[in-house]
Amino acid sequence: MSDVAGTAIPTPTVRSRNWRVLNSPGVVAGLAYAVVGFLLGMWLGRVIGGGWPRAANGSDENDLALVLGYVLAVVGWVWGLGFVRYPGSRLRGAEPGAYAEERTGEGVARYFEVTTDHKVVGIQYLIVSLAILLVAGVNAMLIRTQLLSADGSIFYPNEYLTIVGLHGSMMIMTMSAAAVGGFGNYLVPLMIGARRTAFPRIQALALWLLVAGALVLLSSVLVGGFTSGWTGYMPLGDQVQLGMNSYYVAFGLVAITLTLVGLDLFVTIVTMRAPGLTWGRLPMFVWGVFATTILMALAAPMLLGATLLAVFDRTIGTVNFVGSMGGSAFLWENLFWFFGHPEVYILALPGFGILLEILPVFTRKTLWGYRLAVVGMLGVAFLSFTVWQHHLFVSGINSDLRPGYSLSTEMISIPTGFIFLCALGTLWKGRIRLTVPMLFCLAFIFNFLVGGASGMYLSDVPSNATTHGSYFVMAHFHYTIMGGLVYALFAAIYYWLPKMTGLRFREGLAKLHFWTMFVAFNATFLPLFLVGARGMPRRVSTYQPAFRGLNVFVSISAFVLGASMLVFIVNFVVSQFLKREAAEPNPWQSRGLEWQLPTPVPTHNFDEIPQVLSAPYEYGDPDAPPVADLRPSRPTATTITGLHGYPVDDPDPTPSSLIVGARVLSAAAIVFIAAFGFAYVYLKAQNSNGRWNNGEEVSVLFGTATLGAVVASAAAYLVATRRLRTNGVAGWRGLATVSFVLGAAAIGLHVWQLDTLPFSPTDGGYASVYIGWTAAIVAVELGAMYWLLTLLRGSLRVATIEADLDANGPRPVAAHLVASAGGYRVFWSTAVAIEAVAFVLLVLVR
Amino acid sequence: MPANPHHGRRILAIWFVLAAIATPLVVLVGGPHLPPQDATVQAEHQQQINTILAGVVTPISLAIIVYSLYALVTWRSRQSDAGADGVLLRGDRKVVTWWIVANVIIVVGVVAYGTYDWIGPGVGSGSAQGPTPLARPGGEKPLEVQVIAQQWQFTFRYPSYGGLATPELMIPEDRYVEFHVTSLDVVHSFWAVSLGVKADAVGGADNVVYVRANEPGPFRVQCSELCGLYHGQMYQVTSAVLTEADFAQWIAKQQQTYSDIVPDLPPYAHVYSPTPVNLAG
Amino acid sequence: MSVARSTVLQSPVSRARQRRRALFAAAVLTLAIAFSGPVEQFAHELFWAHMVQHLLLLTVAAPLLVLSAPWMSLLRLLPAPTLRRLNRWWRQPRTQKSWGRATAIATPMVVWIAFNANLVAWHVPALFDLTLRNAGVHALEHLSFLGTGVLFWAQVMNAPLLRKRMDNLARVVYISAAAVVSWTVSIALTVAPSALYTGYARAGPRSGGLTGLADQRIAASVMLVPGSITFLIAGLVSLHRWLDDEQGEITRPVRTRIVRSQKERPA
Repeated sequence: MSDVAGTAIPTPTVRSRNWRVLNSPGVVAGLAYAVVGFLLGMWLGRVIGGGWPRAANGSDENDLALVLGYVLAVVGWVWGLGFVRYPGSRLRGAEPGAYAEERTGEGVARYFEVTTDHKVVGIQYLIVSLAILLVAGVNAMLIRTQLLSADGSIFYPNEYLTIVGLHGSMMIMTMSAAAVGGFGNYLVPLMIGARRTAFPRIQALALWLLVAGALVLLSSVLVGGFTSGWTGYMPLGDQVQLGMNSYYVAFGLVAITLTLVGLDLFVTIVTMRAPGLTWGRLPMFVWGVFATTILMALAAPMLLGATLLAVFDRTIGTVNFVGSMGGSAFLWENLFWFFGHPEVYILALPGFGILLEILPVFTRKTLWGYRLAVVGMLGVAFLSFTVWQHHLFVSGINSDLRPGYSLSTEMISIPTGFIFLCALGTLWKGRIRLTVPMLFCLAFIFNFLVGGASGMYLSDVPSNATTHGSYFVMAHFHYTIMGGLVYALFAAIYYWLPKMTGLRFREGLAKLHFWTMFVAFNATFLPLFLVGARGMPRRVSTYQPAFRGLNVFVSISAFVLGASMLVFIVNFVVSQFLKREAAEPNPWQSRGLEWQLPTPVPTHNFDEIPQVLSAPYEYGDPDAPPVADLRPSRPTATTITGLHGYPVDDPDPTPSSLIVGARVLSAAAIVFIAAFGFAYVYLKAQNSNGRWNNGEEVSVLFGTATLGAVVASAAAYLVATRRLRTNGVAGWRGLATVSFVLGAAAIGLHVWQLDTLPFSPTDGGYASVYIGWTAAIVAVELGAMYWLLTLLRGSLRVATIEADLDANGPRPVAAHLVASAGGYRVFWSTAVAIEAVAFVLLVLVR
Repeated sequence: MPANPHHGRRILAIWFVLAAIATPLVVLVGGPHLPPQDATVQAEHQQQINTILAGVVTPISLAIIVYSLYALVTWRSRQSDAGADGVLLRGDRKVVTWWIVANVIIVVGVVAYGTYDWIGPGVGSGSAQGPTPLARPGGEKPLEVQVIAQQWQFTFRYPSYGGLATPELMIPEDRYVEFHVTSLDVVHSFWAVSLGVKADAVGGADNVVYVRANEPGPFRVQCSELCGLYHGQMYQVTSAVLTEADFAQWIAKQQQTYSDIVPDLPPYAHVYSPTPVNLAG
Repeated sequence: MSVARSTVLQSPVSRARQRRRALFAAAVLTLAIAFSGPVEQFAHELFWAHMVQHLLLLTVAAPLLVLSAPWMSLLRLLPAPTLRRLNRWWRQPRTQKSWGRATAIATPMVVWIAFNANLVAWHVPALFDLTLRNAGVHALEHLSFLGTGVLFWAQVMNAPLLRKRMDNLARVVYISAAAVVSWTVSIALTVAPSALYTGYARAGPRSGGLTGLADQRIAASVMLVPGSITFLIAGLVSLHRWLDDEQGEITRPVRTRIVRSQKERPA
């Protein structure tokens, strides 16, 4: 360890430049703005809406008013929380980092306000997730109460199905960010030796959008509930009353959250690892998060596209999912499950990461087969995009595809098997300590084994005919998701909470929690395999009297399972609030980098960016160096400011983060638009008998002009970036302005055209997809134009790049501008490619 | 495995004994009771697959459980060796190779047999096949029965008997029945548990599934895809497999009962497109 | 190479040679399976069997050929005079220059585009139907599959005689991106409302009583899943190797220790 004091940035300065808090507006302002926004949206909807009944059943409920209300409420929420200030100030030409002003919200209060401190955000995610888990868990108890009797006499069908839908939606959708949002945000920077994530503001925004999503979803009960379950199948979703809007809006918000979380953490892991932390030394939990973020960024935008198509169906009368009018019910099933199956692994992969992270610590062994485990995780991520049709084995489409999808589904067991093998291999001749986190990990192995084994039945077409849509599949995914993710979450909570809060858990209560949970969990879900296979469908409020005995047993077990959660809550309250006992900084004698930090972890994490010396699992290797040098001696003071010579305690992204981030964002945009492209191809293929296009035409001239404007804009920009290198900022600015004008013109043309369309959304599949797709393109292009505008505004402050660099070294302004301009080039080129494909399909082919 | 080979052999021995007891028990004793039993050819095939899968899953699960429990008992940290570390072992190429080989064999075997079964002798194995089924029964022309789902009931039509529509489903034994499943509104799913038949009912789409009943007896029909408010009540219990003679008699009686109604029904088709009410505009 | 060294290295070298021989035999066997017996027979009748044939070329035979690297041995099969003439031609500066230019152009990016464009192009109905009518075009199609396949896999495999063009991480991306292209083609075939290829749509009742559409969808799923297996394996192997590169000093000291201890042992 080096103790050359002169090389470190004086610690007090770092502490005082505390960039956690965005600005003064907070939750109260957010709520107030949200209410105003909601009322405004409702009013707007009343004024302009009402003329577009839902095509599916002609309901004249004013969906538009409610959806606009929700959208403006979310805008108000985000505004009131203060997220608009930064982007607004960038438009006014503020320097990057302008909002890095200090604000030290200490104590419990900081967990309830907007902050960009990744540790606080992580804990906020955990609070939100646990709250959702609790509410959804209570819903589960209500479901089991109803099922105590065979004739279902407690709730009305609407209430019951709303409870079922809320339970599923909250558990699967809003919990998807629990592990990655909570532990991922908290731990990844600590584990990779960084002081923050790549995009702290985006990280915070994702959290608050998730909160909004959860609230919107819950508000469904105020407007009639929704009876579609968490899958929201169409055309039922077109038919259900107002409460259904809450579901689609909430899922749209969750999709945005997942994309943003994925973007932020992916870029963090790629660009912000400490020196010496090669990919081969990355902790397994970070690998799990990494694989998950790939799925988040590449699958969640598909859900956003799908929910938009659904919202258009309900609000402006498109017929995307109305089979008899040129849409297709199968379209939703395909879009939903194309997202939905990767979603399953979004839930499972962080769990694998937690499992493999914790096992070596309590077996005192290196991880068995490190590379194999990584290959397994990324293999699962890769394959998860090829299996979605196994959800449609009995749906009546493409029965010819089943051998293929059956094979791809079974093939996932191979990379999953790697992870199992690594877990089991790590037990071999270890010194196994049966601590509470370890118990949860071992239970994870057992539960996932049951879940995986029952998955074999579901992937097998003949067996699937019995098990699909029954309690069998319900038990199956509870074994993988609850038995996997929730057990991993508890393992992680017991393992890392001493670091997070600096307080110990009561060991006895924790063990009681584990054993009641483990026994009750298995007693609840094992019998459900039997009930399902013998003929009880999912989501029914009544069932055959013959199943009464087993159902009562399951309900009682479920109540015990619920009670075991109370044990956890009691333990939490007692150990964290009532009888606080300080934990040691490293109670588990772990080698993990996060455990080498003091407890509580300082706001800026590391006084200096550490030098990683070895992998975190080198237990039992006497020759292994310590995991990292926390006070490395480095040649000059400038390098300590972080990677790439950029101040680490600034909430602005580093140049390399901007470039990688632009690529991820472009990929996400492609997937988002692909939802509309798929809708186009699918509906055109399914409705070859005239319902697709009843002679609707759009002006080729108009389309060509729009495409021409966009292509010219991109060409101008490409030349501009070349000039940035040769002629400096001044040369860039002129052509970039031209590019902006042309891009804005293209948006204007799109909007004008949407306003003067010669057909109405109800005309058929083509008309519906045209409107949705064009609107989505306009959204992407608006985002791009905002980006370009901030670049243009920012460029006014830089005379020349060279002068700026010479004067200040790699200072934010110039370096930021160059990187952001490069990133924008990738994004805008992607948008142009999207526009070109849309032109060919929507205008030329039709 | 290095150093001390006894552990591996011991685990193998324990597993072998347990698997040798449990697997035949599961397959031979449990197998005949596995759902959905043997009321139809399709149900038989599903049961057969379920039994085979149980036979595959049991030893695999036992192997992992035996290994983990053995590890917990044998290598649990004792007070005496507190602070000690486990052996330094980063992996084992041979173990990985065998693991992958075994996994691939199981995957290929299970998928190959399952696919062979539903395309071949299982004639779809009771799983819906869409409008153009891949597996079709040979021989005698099957009896076509249409299942029309709507919120929240099933109606059954018999095109070979003048498009007769009835609220209950009767099928003859020992003869292939070709169900054409469709919906008038949202997505439903036609599930006759003991027949081993499941097919989603989607508006505007035809979904074919074959079944051949082995013996007469009642069965239950229910919806297994969430279809709105009364999904839980969308079942009926008056359906049955009848002998050929009983079936003819039943049909005759139905034709008589519904003779007034049938002419008013829309002509028989594989899909119906009810016009949505209150179109926009 | 001195005699002494070659004897020392003989056993690993001959083992590598044996391996290459076995791989080459496997490649030839794959080609034989693809172009004779049931596959060839059914390929005339069933689109999906034709798809299997193409996959065998693109994702089995081509990578096996790359790994077995039989180029020099194949050349030696030529009659001696031809070989000499060929050698002379090869040594000409002009040939060397054009070859240098050709290898410079064939960057991984170019090869990637060629491989995928070729793959997509032959799925265009007009072109594909042409292959069914014209044996010459059909042979050209198969040759182009094998050719671009060899070029493609040569970029991502460590095989003799080929320069390493990309690091292992780039290979992972390269392979995954190619897989996505074939997924897209497969999904397009999946959702197509009718049999796209008249050659297969017209053929009457065929084995298993398949309709043209069912046949096409099976082909699509063959392309999606079995077609991804080589991509998956190659991607994961590259990933594994890349992690090996990335493992840093922690395992290397251990490995070097082992190597050192072996070296120190008297020979």
